[in-house]
Amino acid sequence: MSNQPRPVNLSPQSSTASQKTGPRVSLIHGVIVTLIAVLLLLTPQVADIEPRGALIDYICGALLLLLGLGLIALGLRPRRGNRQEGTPPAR
Amino acid sequence: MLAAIPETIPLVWTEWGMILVFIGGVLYAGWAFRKQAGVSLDSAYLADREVPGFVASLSTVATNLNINDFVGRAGFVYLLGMIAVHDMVTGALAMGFVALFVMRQLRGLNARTLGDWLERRYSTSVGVAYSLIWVFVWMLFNLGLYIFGGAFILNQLVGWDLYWSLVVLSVIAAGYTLMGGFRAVVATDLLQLVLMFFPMVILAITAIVHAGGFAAIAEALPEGKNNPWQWHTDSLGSLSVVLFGGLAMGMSYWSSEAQVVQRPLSARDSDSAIVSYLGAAFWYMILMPFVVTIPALAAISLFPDLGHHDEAIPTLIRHMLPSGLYGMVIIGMIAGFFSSADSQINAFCGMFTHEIYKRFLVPGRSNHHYVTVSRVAGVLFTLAAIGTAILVSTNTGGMVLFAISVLVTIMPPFGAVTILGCLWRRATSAGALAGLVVGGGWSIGLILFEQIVSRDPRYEALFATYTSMVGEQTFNFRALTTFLITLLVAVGGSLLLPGRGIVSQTAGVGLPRNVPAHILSMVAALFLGGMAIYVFWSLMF
Repeated sequence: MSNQPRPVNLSPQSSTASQKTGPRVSLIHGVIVTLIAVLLLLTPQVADIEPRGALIDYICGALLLLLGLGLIALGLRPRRGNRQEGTPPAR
Repeated sequence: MLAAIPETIPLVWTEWGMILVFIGGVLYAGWAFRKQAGVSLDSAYLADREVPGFVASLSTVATNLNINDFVGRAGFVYLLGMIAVHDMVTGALAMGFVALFVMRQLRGLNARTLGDWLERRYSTSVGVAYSLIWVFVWMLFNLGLYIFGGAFILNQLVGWDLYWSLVVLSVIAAGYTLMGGFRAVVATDLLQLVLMFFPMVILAITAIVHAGGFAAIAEALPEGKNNPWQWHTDSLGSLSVVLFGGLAMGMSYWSSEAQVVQRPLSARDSDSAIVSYLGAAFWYMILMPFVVTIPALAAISLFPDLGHHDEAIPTLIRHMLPSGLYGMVIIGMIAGFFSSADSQINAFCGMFTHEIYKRFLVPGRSNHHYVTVSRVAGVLFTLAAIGTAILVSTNTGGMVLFAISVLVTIMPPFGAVTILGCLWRRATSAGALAGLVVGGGWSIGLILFEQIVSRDPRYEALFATYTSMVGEQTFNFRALTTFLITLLVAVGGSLLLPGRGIVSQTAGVGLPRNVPAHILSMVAALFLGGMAIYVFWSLMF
């Protein structure tokens, strides 16, 4: 086994092309969180829960729903790399 | 160590639906990233170094959070009280140190893994020693523990069969990890982080309200558990051993654990790599005390007579969360398992294929070949880890303690050598090897000493003196002394033993130069956050 160090290869880092063409993570997360939120909101209807517990479920479900819808909205925004030249950035 | 929990609560169909949505979602994420992961090893294991700093930061947090944290760490607090609060602060300090003083040098050699970095910085011997130990010993054992921990808690909370849970959870984690590579791992980490923390935050708030607020929690703490600055505990030894041992262990962990170092290595640039650790340190210092320490302290107040300290969080979950949120906790527990297991599988595939298979067994083949081999290796690794998990299930207490012993034996030597290699140009391969051998030998020697002395009645007085100095749990003492001895021997070996002199132009000690404003802001926030946490503990408890 050699004890010589391997030559350092300071090659440039790869491009960010896959960020422009890859799946939209925010959209995937948003859909999952939204579905979970809807199921959480439905739970007090199908389970025997005292009113205080149901209130906690509703509050948490609403918070998650907001988060999920926000993520979906984020995921549906046009990507910078896909915008046509001259198109102003989304605000 | 996980203790038996007596009750299980059946899930309603909406909770089953949530679990299926979550599992379907992570599998879809793996499938969605399959094309990017199949391009090359760099794509599969470093996401082509495109990961933004804040995403790498959240992924670092998610990777390190699992059931052992939510159950085991909380149990630690329940058992020892306020003295356990230092653990997270010393860990965050260690992350800050590694981020500011080590990270640029780690990135400077453009390495793919830490084994690769050690090889470039020192020599093949040092790099291969690290890769072999991690790939064939630590990763296999660690994943086995993750799998067992995840299956065990689901068995106890929901009543799922332990062995079916072992297999099904492992297959799902391996499935999306091997399909989508590191991008899928990071993407699902973010989702898993939200789904882990959300129910735990609700649990923390509910527990504080039930206990009557911070003041009531503080008043209920018994003598011996109510002072974070008590000089000595029977379990952990003196405060200096707790603080400096925790710091040594933290610095070793954050600079040498393969799956952790993978995050900054995959970041876009050095600044993003630094941000990844500083951000994670902030999470650890501020959020972990809130979702782990305070609920555990509340459990002391609400349920002072639990049969086992690890029952603290499961008992709170059962008594305080309604159906619906209970299902969310189950998702959080599964997410905790996935976020740790996927990182371990992905790191194994990268290290094995790049450091062992490609370098020594079959060099010079196509990217497609190596990606395929890495996936096959990942399948075999997961099967072996399932076997390890089954082995763990037959002897939980001893195996978990053994795992901690392994951790404290292997990490401080490699952590010390890595940090020294970053900070000191003259650190040589001969010095590093000497440090590894002597440091590792010291740690193993301490284990043997404790085993022999504790079992032989002739040495009863000697053992009592030893534990009164370093504590009954000697992990902190072992970590501290092993780290320091490795450093000293590596420095001495570099100066005295024949070998290369200056081998790295990137290494060097001193304050980092040209630090961007956003990193300085994070350091300031981290410092103020740490102060605020201690002020909070002092005022409230």
